Amino acid sequence: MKTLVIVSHPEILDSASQQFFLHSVKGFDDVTVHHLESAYPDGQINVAEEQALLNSHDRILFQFPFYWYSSPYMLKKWQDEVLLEGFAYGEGRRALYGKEFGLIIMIGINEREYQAGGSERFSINELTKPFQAMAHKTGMTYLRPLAVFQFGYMDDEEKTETLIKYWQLLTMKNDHSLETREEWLINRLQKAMTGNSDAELTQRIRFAIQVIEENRQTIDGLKMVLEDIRRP
Amino acid sequence: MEKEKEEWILSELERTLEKTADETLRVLIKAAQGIIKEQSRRMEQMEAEIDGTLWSPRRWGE
Repeated sequence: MKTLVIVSHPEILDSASQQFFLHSVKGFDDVTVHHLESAYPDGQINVAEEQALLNSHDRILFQFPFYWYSSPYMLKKWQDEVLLEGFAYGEGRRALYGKEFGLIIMIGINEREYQAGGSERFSINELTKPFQAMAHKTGMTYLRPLAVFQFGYMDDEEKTETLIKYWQLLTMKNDHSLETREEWLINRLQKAMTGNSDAELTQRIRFAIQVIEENRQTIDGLKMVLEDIRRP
Repeated sequence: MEKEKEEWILSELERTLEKTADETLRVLIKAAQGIIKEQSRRMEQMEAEIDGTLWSPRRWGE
């Protein structure tokens, strides 16, 4: 699976959260990061190139700071100019049909405010309806969004947990079962260890993988026993 | 998984974490600790359910 992360941020170098997430995926060979404001400093979008990028990826993600309950200007302009009738929707070919689509949104306000009774009143799911409608119209599967609230206030543990969710949204198949997360983690550990010459570290990681795999076998065995005894 | 084995692998990973500077690997090691704990919880819950089901009064007549 190849993932395209379309990032829109007018001042990306000043954004600690954007730098943190984007820096973390520099070695990911199955991920393409495409920052619109850097690619088009004059604002003139190359539509054919953008459509070719979309064609060559299976999962499309929009990553942006939440500005007035939507994306920065450049991403809206990109949608208007790239997702044209005859390419993304309408009669005939729908180039995005069957792909997956998701949002990664950086939000400066506390999560509790995005609900009835909170200062922002509406939930992120309600406020992102236009993106959900876009995915629906173009035939893409809408993924669970990753909303990052108040990154600046997160401690190291929260940042790590969020980073794992970010990597999963970028590279894990759309299924959050324990088994899928195990498979994903083993795969990522093996990739991270490729070329590592530290024998002791390699052995420890190998052993951790072995434990995860053995636990999976035990869980599957217990599942069979449970199915058997639940049978009337 | 026996409790001792779980604790041992978690502490092994913790020691690995202390020695690893590679940020990507550090995050993945923390994820591995989380997954092993979650697997362990899942196994305990399933074993408890098996015990409970086998001891259920509904089964006493069998």
